[in-house]
Amino acid sequence: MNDDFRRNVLKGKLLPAFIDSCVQAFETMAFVATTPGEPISKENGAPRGQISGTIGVAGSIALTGDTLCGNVSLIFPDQVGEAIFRSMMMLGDDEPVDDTELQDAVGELANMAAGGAKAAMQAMGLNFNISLPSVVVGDGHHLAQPATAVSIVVPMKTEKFEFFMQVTFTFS
Amino acid sequence: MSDTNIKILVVDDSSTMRRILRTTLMRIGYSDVTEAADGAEALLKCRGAQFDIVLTDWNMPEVDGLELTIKLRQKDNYKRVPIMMVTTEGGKQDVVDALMQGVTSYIVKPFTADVLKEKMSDLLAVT
Repeated sequence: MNDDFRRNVLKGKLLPAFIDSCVQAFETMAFVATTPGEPISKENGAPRGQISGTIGVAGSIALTGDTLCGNVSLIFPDQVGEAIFRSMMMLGDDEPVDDTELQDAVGELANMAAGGAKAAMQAMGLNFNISLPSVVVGDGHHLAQPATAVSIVVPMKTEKFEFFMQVTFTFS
Repeated sequence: MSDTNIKILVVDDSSTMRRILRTTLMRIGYSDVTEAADGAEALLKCRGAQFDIVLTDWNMPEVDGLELTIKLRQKDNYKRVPIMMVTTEGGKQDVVDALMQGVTSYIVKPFTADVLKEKMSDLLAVT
């Protein structure tokens, strides 16, 4: 399988499923309407976050027998993660946000974004499992990916702010 | 059984999901909610109290939702208690596996309050 095919599988099959799942998760559980922007390839630079949640993904393509593994990350720039948490928990602007709960919420949103895609992809013959979420906290961090992986970043726009979904896969 | 009398146990290793479930359950009329952070804690709480409905996550450390279901079904006082799996695992085989192990119902995250309300009504209708 060459890089173009891999990128086409990622863009044509995997990415739409993750985007749809992310939109639904945010609308349903965080009460935030999101609109995906144009995908950005990793050559344009990785997005910087204050807090991000990542889910590992591994599985296979039933049609070809190829295996794939990678990860899906939600990357929230400065204060965006907190804003989404407030919306999710219906907290007022003056109510305090517990860091541990914020981290848990980010992990849970990533879990739902990946998990919702899983069922959709099973219907397409893409069978995979997802990991427990991991959360990274730190101003201006980015999530580096292996050079051999195909990685696409999708800006997710809301009325008030923007965050990013990063989908990265390797195929074998 | 009125909604206010129903004792619900919510089991999830995510404090976020426990909070969301508690808040949503209260919004749809269920106020007696006890939380457990994992399957092991849930089993302890079930030894000390009789819950009318158990809502449990699937993927949890130590004792996951399926194992919790199996262990509860071995208890005489929990053989018929409705157990609903609250999870992102929405594939057909996942649903079949859960039902085979004694789960009564299934709700896939993310869900709306309306969906949870409908699922809870369905659970209560069979008790």
